[in-house]
Amino acid sequence: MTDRKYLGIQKVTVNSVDEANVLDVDIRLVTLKYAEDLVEVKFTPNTIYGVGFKPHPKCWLIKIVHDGQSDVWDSYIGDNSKGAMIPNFSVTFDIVKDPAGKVIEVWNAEGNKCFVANRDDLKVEIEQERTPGAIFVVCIGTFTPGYE
Amino acid sequence: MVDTKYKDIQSLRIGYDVTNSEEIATIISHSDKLVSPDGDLVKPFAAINDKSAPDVTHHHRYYLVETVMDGFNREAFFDEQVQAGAEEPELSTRALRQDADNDLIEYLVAKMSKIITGTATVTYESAKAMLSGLHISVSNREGRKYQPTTIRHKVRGTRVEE
Repeated sequence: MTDRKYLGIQKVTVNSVDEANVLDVDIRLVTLKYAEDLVEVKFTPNTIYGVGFKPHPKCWLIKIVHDGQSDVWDSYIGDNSKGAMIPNFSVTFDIVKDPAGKVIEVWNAEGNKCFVANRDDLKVEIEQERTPGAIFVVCIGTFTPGYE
Repeated sequence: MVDTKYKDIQSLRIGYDVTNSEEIATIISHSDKLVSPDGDLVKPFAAINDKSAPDVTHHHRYYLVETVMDGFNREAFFDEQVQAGAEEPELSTRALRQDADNDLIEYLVAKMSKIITGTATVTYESAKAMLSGLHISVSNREGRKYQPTTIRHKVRGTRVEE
């Protein structure tokens, strides 16, 4: 049994530059159309339980919510042009791994396989402590957790 | 008649048999339901003024199994072999493959505590389950008790509870 509990997000690293002011990170496996339903069950007319699966090509969709915004993304967002691929991208979590105690888990994306899909959800409101803004990153290569 | 009331979910095992499987124990919730892409499981052929519907049509169906764990167990999805036989690392099967289709899982078993005593074991049919969804959510916001990971499997076979 190797369950690990997340304590929080330590940092997001974009082309070796750390962005530390992170509120939330969501990691999803999605299809190329951003659907979270990765497989379909296929049926023939007279089969109740189906005859097989149809898996869809999948990629990773990572939503990062910062408290505010960060300029580490600016080089990869083309406001009026195609955005560049991110050379390297990782997310570092603080975790508890029994019995080792507190360690970190680093999700590393395959180099030059990630790009910024959207900048969204920026909300600045009076009398609110947080001013969250989201960046969506899509990885069309591998995105794999490792432990230190 | 035997009624069963559950107390909590103990574990979910993923692999190819009871000894060659990874146990996930930090589970927040586990649920399964029989669903149909057509809507309800059956559709009656009712006719106006008929006193009883003459028949029903049975729709296609599969089990949708959703488990929410606190944290993430990499080994269960990235490392654990889910089909017997393929021993070479490059041939090994995995619940989650990044560069290929996910493999069919031969051993997918949930264990739940019963409210009075004993354990209920739910076994989904071998090699009829496939990982169909993964969502990890981690937050630094104050007061967050759990950091949930939601996984979904589709099972186009039977569900046996003992």
